[in-house]
Amino acid sequence: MIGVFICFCGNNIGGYIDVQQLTDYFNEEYPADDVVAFNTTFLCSEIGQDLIKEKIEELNLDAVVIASCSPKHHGAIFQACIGEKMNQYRWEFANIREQCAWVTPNKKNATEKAKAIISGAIEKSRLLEDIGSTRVPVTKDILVIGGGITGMHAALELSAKGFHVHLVEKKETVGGNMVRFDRVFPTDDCAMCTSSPILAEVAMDPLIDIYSLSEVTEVKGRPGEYDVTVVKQPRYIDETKCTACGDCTAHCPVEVWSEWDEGMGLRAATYKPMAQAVPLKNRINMDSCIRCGTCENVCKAEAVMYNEEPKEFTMKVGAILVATGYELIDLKNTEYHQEHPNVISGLQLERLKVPSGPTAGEILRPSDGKMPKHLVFVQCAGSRDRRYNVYCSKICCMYATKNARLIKSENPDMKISICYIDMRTAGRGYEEFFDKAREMGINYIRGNVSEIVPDGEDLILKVEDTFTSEPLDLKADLVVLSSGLIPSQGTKDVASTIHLVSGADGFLAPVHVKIAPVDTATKGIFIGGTTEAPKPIQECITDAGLVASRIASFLKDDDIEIDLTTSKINPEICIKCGTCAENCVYDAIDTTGENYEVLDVSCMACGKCSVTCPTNAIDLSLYTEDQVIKQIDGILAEDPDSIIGFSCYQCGYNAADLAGTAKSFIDPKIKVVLVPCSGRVTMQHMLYPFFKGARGVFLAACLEGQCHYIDGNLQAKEKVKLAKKALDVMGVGGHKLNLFNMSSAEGPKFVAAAKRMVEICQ
Amino acid sequence: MAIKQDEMDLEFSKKLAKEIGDSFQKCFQCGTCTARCPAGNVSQYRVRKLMRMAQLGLKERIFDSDEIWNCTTCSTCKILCPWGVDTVSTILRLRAEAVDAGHENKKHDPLVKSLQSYDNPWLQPRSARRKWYKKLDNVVDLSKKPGEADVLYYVGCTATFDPRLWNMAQSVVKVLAKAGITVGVLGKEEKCCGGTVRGVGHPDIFEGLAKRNIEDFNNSGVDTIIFSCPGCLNTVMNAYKDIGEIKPRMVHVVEYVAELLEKGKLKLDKDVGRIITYHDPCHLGKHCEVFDPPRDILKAIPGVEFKEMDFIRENSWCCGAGGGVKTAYPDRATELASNRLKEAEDTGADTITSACSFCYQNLLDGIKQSDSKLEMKDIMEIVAEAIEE
Repeated sequence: MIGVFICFCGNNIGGYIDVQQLTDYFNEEYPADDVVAFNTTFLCSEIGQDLIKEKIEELNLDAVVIASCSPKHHGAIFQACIGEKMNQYRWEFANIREQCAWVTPNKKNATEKAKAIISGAIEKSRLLEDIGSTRVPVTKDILVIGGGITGMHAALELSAKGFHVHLVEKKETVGGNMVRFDRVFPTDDCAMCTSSPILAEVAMDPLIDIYSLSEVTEVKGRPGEYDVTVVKQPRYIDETKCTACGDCTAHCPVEVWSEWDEGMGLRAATYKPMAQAVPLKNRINMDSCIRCGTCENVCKAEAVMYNEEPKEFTMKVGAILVATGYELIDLKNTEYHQEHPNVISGLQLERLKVPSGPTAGEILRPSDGKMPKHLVFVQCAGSRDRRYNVYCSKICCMYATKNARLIKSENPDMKISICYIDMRTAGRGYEEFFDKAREMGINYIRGNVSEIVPDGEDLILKVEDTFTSEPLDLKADLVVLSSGLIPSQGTKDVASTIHLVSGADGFLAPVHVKIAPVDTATKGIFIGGTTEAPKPIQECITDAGLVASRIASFLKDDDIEIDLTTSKINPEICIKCGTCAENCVYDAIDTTGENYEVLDVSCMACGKCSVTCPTNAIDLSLYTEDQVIKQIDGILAEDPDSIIGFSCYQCGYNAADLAGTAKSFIDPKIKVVLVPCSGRVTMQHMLYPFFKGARGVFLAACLEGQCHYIDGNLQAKEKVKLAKKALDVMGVGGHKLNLFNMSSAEGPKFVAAAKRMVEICQ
Repeated sequence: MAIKQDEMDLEFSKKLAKEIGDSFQKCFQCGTCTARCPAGNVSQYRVRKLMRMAQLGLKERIFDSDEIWNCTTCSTCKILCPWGVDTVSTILRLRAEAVDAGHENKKHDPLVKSLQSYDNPWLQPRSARRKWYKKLDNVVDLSKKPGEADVLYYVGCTATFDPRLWNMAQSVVKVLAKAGITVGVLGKEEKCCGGTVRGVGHPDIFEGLAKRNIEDFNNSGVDTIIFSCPGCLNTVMNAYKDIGEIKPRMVHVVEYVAELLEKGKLKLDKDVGRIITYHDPCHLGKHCEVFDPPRDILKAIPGVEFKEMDFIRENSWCCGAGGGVKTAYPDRATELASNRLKEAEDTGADTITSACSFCYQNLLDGIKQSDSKLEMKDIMEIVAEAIEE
């Protein structure tokens, strides 16, 4: 007996689908008589869960079908609930909210589509089997990538909980962007005074190992036990000998623009970026070193090592925090003219303002070292603009206001204007902070700067004062761009090294923006701070605390439970050809024993092996060859000329859910079939629907190069090519089968793919 | 005046938005458009406010004010808009709605009537179309002898009827002849492209003209149509798309001549001795994205010292003539031309050149009005100067 539980989700489903009619249908008209259906207002509530448990017991159900929201939403809740009464994998979901109710404006159509979706789930559920679990050991060490305020704070929190942390930082010192600021809002605290105790603590903490000038180049393994390769670039100065006395810097003949000071000041070829650097060691930057030998001669500690090579080393960790942060968008050679000496970024202004900076805290314009008479801040420079970033960078309204206030209070005669589109000052004490700025006489102009026109050393800003509706030319002698935040190069690099999901904006995507903001789709890998989105320091600290807690919970025991939802080999059919092992990027197939065996701990359950096996000897639990076929049968039995859309768990399915959240329109003929990876879809899966009357078939896969199982989508691409040929030969037409690549954040791309399929398969 | 609840016709707004791809509904009123709007710099016209009124569906207010008739359709606002709002299409749509609702701009009446009677906006008889080439013996009338020329030169009404522009049109023939190309025209059968009526809110009249022109073009028997008026080129190339297919290739004469120069088919040998700056016509640059060919030509002319103004290419200021503004508000058009001329003067040039009949007229008026020392020459006139007789 199969129990179908249909959720009204208040009006979220009930408003779009006739839930009662649906329930009656499965009780009275559905062709199979071993199906019994129930409905309730909120299935995820305690009442709903009790109903499920009660019916499993009362009717001795063999399997359960949950017809509700996306399994990505409450899947875990239902699994736990069902797990109390039977094997936790004896249930199948029918996503009738995001992928049905919310994308089908016509109630009748939506109800019919829901029937097909549920029917697919019922038929698949007939083949479900018990799936066990096993416990595997975990490594308690943790890798933190990025030593900015988020990484440092999380490292300290983790160390406080007794964990050993490897802190890997690309620059010569930890500290990140925050330590380069003058003061921080809304308290106007000195940034260095706030962060130097943290730097010192990190430096002294016996449980934190710092790797400066280092980058992660490879991550292998599984949740709880990752093998990480790190490459440390040469410092050309022996860290064990250098005393940071500064003699080498004092004698170095080289002077180049300092990266640390964002080109606002000079540095020698050997330097330490700041007095509070951690580790407090000098570095020779070979990009500017002329190999004159002076530093070697003056160094009493004999620490100079011109011939030092990069070092590669490995470490084992149980969990990883990615805290690689942001950088500012470059607006040179645009209408902002950042290439002009007197158009500087907010971060460059911070370097001018820092008392220990190149101008000792004085605001002197780069072209002539004079104090500006009219300083203008340009808000939304590269933000809220389709040509650059469409998103709001969140912190700029406050940081421009902060700097305007500080500069105004020190230089009351300087005229300061801020051109803005909207002032966004949501946060405790923020509005009061903004209010005070206006009171101080800072000139806020509500209008976006259309163009900055260089006028010799000065600049003319073209802007409309939208309150008076008058266009005006604002003459400035120093312009500060509140440049938009973008993911740092490090963030982009790590995303591709570890295969993490990025949003359309390039920032790394959490599992759920609201309820799992620091977890990623890969268990054991977490994100925090501005790696996830532009955010103020306060929120980075909050993230750091949360992520430390999440990691501690994940690693609290000596082992973790892993469900055996892995591939299985049937030794009776296996011919030991080795194809599966060759294709498995996780080395999860043991070919050494008498029979081939899947290493449950290593298997990531992508299912690619089962597609490549020439004898069909290997199959993937939960998405077996036959289960997928049965699901298609169920769907097509209700709605024969559907278009089947195999969607990968990480991207395609998520994009389909997002299309629902955005209430986009998707033709009701489109029926999504969830697969772990597009690489799991076999030739039979692609062709079979056509024999049963389907109009078309498509695959919604990750973007190329971003497959969460490395190359599953490339394998799928090849299979699709073959299947297209087969369809041409059969006279069906290969054009009715297509592969679409999209990221998990690209709901509109799924909508477009669905639309395209409907057009093709008219 | 306070906005009354029933003034807000959100259905009107919704309908309008549906018809325009990149909708004004996305506008968040940042003012980027207005800050750089040429018309807004010399009048009370505010693109941003117009988008806002459209969002609120304040159609009576929009129709009653003269706001919509101020736009020169230069497209600067559309290019700069952070959200990619298609401001120009919105304005053209609003103009059509206004005309539909009986709120046409009366100052455009003679133009519209002339078009309906004579197929040109200048109240001129059809036969006068032949005047500009009367003295040339190498122009073929393709309406009579289809296929007997290498190219069709679509002159456009402005150059056809304004004697000040005849030298420009004649220069086109001279330059092409020098490269061995026989120029054909449609003679008295040439009709207005319809760009102006489309611009002032009469899509129906426009469509009629477009259909007849498409037929003429396809029957001309040539494989290339050359335009010297960017307004015509933009209309025919971009606005005819939904109406019918034109078989011959369509190019502006600057593109064609730049190609001839590059292939070595045209040689310029006479020193012209001019310091020249180039004004990008909005309909050639911003609308058709033709920026480099005129510059390539100028750099190839012997004795030309080429100077750029500060605002060029996509960023160029409008001369002020387009979108029916010169007809309805000639003073504003001239004021804008004078502003542009000041910029040109700042380069130290003695000649301002462009590649548009309408810019030519308006900049010429601007020179007269502001007593500028600059000489106005179409780029084809300069090329012709560089050809030995």
